[in-house]
Amino acid sequence: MNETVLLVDDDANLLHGLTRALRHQPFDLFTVRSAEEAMDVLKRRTIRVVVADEQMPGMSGGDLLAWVAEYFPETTRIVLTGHPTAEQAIRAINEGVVYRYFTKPCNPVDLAITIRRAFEEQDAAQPPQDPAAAT
Amino acid sequence: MNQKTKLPPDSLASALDGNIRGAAKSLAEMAVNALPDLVYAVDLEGRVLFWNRALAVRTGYRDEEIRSMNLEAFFPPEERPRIRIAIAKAWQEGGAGVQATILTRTGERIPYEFSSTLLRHSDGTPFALCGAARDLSERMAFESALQESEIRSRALFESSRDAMMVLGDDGRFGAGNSAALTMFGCRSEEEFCRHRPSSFSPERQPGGRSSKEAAQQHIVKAMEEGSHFFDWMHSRVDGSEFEASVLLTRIEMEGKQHIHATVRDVSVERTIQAALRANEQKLRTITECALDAIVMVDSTGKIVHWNAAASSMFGYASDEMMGKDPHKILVPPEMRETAHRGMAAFATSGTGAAVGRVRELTAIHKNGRRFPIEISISSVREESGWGAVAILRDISERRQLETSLQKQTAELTARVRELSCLERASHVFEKNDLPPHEIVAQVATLLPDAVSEPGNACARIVYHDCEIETPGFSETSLRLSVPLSIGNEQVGAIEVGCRDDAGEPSQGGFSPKERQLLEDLSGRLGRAIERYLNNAEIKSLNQKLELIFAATRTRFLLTDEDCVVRYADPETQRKYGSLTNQKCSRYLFLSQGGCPACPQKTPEARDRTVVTHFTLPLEQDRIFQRTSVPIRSHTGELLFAAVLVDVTEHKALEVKLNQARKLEAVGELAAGIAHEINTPAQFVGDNTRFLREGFQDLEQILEKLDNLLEAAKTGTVDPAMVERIRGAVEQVDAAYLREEIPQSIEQTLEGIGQIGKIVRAMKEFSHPGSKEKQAIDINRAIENTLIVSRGEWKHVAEVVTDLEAGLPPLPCFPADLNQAMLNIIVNAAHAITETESGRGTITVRSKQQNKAIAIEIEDTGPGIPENIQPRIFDHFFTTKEVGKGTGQGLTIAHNVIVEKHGGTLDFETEAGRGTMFRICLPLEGNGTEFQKLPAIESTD
Repeated sequence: MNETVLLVDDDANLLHGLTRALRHQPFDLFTVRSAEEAMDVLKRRTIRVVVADEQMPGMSGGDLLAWVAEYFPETTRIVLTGHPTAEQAIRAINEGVVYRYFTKPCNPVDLAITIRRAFEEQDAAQPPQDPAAAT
Repeated sequence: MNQKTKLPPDSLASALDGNIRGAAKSLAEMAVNALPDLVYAVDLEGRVLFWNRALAVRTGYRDEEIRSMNLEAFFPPEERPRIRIAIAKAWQEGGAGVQATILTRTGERIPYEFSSTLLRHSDGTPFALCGAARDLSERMAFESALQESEIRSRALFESSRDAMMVLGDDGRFGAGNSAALTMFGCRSEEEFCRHRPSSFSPERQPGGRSSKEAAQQHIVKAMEEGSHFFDWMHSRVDGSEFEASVLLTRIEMEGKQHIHATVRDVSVERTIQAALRANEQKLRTITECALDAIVMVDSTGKIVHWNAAASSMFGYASDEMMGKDPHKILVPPEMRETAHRGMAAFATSGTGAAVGRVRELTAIHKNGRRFPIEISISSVREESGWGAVAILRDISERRQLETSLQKQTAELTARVRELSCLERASHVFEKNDLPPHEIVAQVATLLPDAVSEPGNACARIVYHDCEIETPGFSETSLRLSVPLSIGNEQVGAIEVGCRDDAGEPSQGGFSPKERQLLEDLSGRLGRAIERYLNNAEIKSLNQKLELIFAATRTRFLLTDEDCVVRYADPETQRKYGSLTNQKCSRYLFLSQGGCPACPQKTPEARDRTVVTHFTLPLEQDRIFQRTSVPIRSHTGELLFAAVLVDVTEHKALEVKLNQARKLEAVGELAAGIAHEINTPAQFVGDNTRFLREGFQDLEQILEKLDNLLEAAKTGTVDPAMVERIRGAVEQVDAAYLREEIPQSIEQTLEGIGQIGKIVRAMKEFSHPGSKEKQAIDINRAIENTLIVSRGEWKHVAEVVTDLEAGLPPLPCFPADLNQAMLNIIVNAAHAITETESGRGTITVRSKQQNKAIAIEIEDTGPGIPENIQPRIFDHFFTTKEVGKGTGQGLTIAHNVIVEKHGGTLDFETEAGRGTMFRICLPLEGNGTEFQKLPAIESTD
């Protein structure tokens, strides 16, 4: 299965910067500048990790991740926010929609390690070979 | 305030004193002033207490002079020692009589007869000597006339010695004494004896009888009867005749019958008698005119003279009394024996107990009435013994007067005692600091004097549970009690009591006057206690007040309309000295000239509270808030009560609080701002790390290129080397680096620029500012505010600015103004989120309009509902959900713009179209003349 990561942030410079930082990582990195675009991408192709900014014009990062949790529950959801708030933290914990919570500025190495661990965990949690048994 | 209603003690005393004196005077005028006698009373020191009009008139002194005179001063200096003794004697013996000369003011001397009586208290202690004096000039004139005639008569008698001679049976004189020689004009006895009796007689006696015959008959008769007395006309040797009385006595001498003749020349006697008659006439005239009764008795005790005054005094006419024994008629029966004995002794000796002095006796009028008289008796020598002249005076009037005077004096004494009681009580009441039980104790000891029998009186005062009584009160049976009240509340009673052993309990209790006095005292005692209690309360209130002032560090000044200090709290007085009755400017500005901006001088200060802030000259580091309240004193005077509270800490806190509020606002922006900063921080970091890695890659290529360059120099370029270089270039993806590095540098600089911009805007936005206004570029301030608030609006609104270039610097408090604009902008962004689309436009304009700058902030939100429009500037009014807004945003904006800058803040709103807030700020002045400006015209 392809290792795909979707980075969502309304700031183009941030997307450029992170793309540069993560260019050697063994996963495919896609970037979009709004939650709405992200939803489009998710609907069209498999994305295994979503990294989203919290504050964006239009739909917020939190809402996006909640949507992802609902429709693509296997997709790991990571927050990268410029301004952490208690509200977001509470939501992350209580609703279990967020895998990791990063605040800007973060070290891209930490982010990369987290993404890779997410892939490993997804692989470890692969559903059993006989899907019929679950039904 | 302490309202004093009582009279000062002096005036009270003099008022009462005046009344008493007035009463006494009016009574005295009735009785005393009618008398021609001098009437007076003196005290122990001889001070004249009372006197009548006659005394003033006769002595010539004015009343006010007499008031300060000693009795002695009315007598000539040489008489004074005697007077002093007489007065002392009177005090000792209870009265005295003395004759003395009064020296009038003009130096005239008038003889007076004084009699005096002691006036005594009921306990027998004398307190005044009352005297009366009668003018003796008249009586003295009479007595001296009487004496004169007596002396003259006696001399005449003595000088007219009887002539004696002996007549022999031969009809010749046998002998003649020297008086006979002188009488008949003979030079010697021999010559006398040569004459015959007939030669000493004229031819005929008066009546025509022959002297010879008549003489013969008288001799015969004498011879027969032994003696014979007859009148005879004699003649002297020189032929002159004279009347004589002749006594012939038959005598036996040497056995022969002789005639002894005693001849008295009666012509002299007749002359004397005539003179006497004339004298008597004169005396009678005097005595008839005299005011005193004058009665003369002869040596046998029969009345020989009875003047008109005597008739009116005793009721007997002169002819009723002549020849009668006065003692039998005029002396009361029980005294008659003594009187007769005295008279009998007097008749022979001419002296007696009654002679030469003034005595007071009782006499009986014809109608049987007894009345007191004063009598003085002078002796008159008579042939047959001693006669007497008595001068009598009816003294019943004087006695009455004395009695009434005594009564009055007693009354006066009582009133003086009451008065002094009142006065002493007044002194007690005057002492403001005496506690009630002390006042009560002191007044209780004064009370017995307030009643007429102080010796037997006791008193008790009950005041709450304090009960004070003078010794013996419990033994009293007759009591007078009046309630003691404070205000309308009865708090006790004042009582006086008299002991029964006074022996006069039957007097029927106390007089209304005493009750009145007691009630008066009770009233004043009540008021004194009340005053003390009030004072104590006021004092305690004052203390509390001053403690409160001290504890709260509150200054308090009470000033009048002219800024004159009526009261200043102790702390102020300690710092600035006594300010009372000084101008308050001395305190506030250390000058007497008045304050530059006196808050009391403004018209509104006269009827409402005015609050100002200022520093005091001696406490420059403190800020005081002065609350000036106009008050009306109870007299209607306009006063100002100024409470000065040290608000230095308060002010410092306020400054801190404002700053905190600003920080709070900044904190609210933190989310947006953090995002604005952290996002560039993220990619600046990423890019920098990328650049570091990229450089490391490029460095490898550069190293290989260096080697190639060295080889090229030596001409030993190995194709493998070139291949290695190409491999390295491929390995590091040089093409990617060449494309990305310039971009990443560009983006990094951009990110750094973003961070710098927001940090600078933050710094400028929240600059704490100074106390003074500073001129700023308002457009820059608008831009800063937009940058800082970008996080709030960037996701919901597009911001359009239309800022007029070249606006003059605007004097303002930048931090406050920024805050105001921020609040309005944030509100605008919030308003837009409420629209359906959730997105809109915020337009910010600035423009100079005359002497002001207008700033408009317009949103495309839903508009403000009409029903809440009036409340949007109210404190704590918010339409946001709980936790979203404090309701302070527009309130703060309004305060800043209107209160602090003197500008205006208003808005236009239309439902569905949006709202426009317009801020107008004056470019100069404090903005009071600032007019509302029209909206900025669109520059499109």
